[in-house]
Amino acid sequence: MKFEGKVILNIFWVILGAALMALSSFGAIDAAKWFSFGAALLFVGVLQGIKNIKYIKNEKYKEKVDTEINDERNKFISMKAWSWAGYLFVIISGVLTIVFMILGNNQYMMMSSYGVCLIILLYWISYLVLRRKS
Amino acid sequence: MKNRIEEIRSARGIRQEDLAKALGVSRQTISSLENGRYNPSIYLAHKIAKFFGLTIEEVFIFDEEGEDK
Repeated sequence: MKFEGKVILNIFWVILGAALMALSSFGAIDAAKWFSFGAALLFVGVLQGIKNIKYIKNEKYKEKVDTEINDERNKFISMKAWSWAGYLFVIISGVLTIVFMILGNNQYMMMSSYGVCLIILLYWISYLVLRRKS
Repeated sequence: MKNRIEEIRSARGIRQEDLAKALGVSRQTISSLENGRYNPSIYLAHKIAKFFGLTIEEVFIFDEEGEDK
């Protein structure tokens, strides 16, 4: 995502967070559910905003961030980490499915098996799309 | 794939930081390349060879055993 896009998204998080906090404070929405969620969004937005200001004003920091983003080894490691995460998710969900089946907890068993099915489906969709593109 | 990056860089008195800056990559990437832990893309290999004023074959040594790495 381009820097301008990140700034717009960041402003959106801040506005959404503040709106959720305000609405829950006035009792328009359930405060127990939405106040902390809004506060978290606001916090992330402000934190990201500080980083964006630093990126604009500090040339050395900008160079460091740009190198990190464009570094091909970093991209490779990031892709590999996603790949590992996917494999681990399938393995853990598979093990959990068996464990819940043995324990006789059908609801959790179905949830974990659906998780495996979903990620395999997403893999095949991604594979087909990437095969057409490459 | 083996390479002569460290050998060429040291012979020319270039620091890892400076090479990394010139290539637009991190210093860790240069270190990983020199240790053979990471194989570069053809694009980066070309940039490295061009930086040293050499051909890709002069910097990188194709190793059939490491093909599956």
